[in-house]
Amino acid sequence: MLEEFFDLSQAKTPMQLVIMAWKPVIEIGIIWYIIYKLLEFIKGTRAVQVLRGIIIIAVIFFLTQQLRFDVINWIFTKLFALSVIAFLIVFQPEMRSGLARIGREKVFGNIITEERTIDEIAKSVSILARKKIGAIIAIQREVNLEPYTESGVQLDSVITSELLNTIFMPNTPLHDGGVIVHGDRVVAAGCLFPLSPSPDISKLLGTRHRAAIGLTEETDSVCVVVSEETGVISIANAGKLTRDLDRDRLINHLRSLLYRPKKEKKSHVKLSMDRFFRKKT
Amino acid sequence: MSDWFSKNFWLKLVAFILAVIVWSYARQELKNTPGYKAEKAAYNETPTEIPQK
Repeated sequence: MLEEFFDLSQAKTPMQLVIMAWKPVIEIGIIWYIIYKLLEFIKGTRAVQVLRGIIIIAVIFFLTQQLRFDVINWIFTKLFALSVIAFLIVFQPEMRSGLARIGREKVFGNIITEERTIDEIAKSVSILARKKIGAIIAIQREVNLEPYTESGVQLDSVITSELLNTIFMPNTPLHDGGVIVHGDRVVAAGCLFPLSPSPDISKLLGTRHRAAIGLTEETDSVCVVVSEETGVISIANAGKLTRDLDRDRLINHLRSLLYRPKKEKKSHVKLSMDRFFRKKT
Repeated sequence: MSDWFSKNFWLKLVAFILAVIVWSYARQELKNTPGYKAEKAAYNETPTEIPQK
């Protein structure tokens, strides 16, 4: 069977066998990677249930073919043609976020975010958590969050913990919505984020957490959430929520996701000057 | 390396089985396509017999 797969009967020496087998191995490897990534992506979404349905229908279709139920077979064939269009419409959001995820695979490492931004967010969030004031802060990375900033009020001000605390203060016009941060600036407040349709999200989590997961599913941003009920601090990244963070863990987590220290580039002149002065002293 | 294998092992295995099925099906379809010439001869293999007139 294997020989039939690889057409290896032509090979006369082991060397020829290796030469002839490498192409199918690479081809299968590429297909395996695509299917694996697809399954990994589908695993956490509502597409799993639909996939189960499709598998059941495919099995029935196979059985009707074997048993030669021609009329049923004809109906299934027509339905399959329609289902391709239906599939594209129903899973348009999943496909969009999947393609966006492929496009933003890390090639050049993390995006540089100011250390000060992380400190200010951590400071603000720990105060809000202590006072049990709900908050959601989205930190922009490569994907532009402009469509979401348009749903809120544009600010474009330097980030400070005081500003963030004031925005989320209850009974103020901007508190009911998300804040978008880019670099060291608060871009907008009172923004509306998309809610995740995932059925796996705990019922204990409210709309704020669902919005954080939803935004990070659709974009590469990182969301920091403070629960209004419990004061628990969470981080959402790539549709996954990490809960129960204290200030230090929050800072470490944000650093690992956002911060890459700038490498100091020393010129040859500067290096030789350094060596010269070191010798003198 | 063992971590890489153990993480999502079943998903990887299912993906591998599907990949082999898809590949063999595609190859079979390709073989049946009129005009398609499969690479039969091994790389660098010279014909042993030269047809004589």
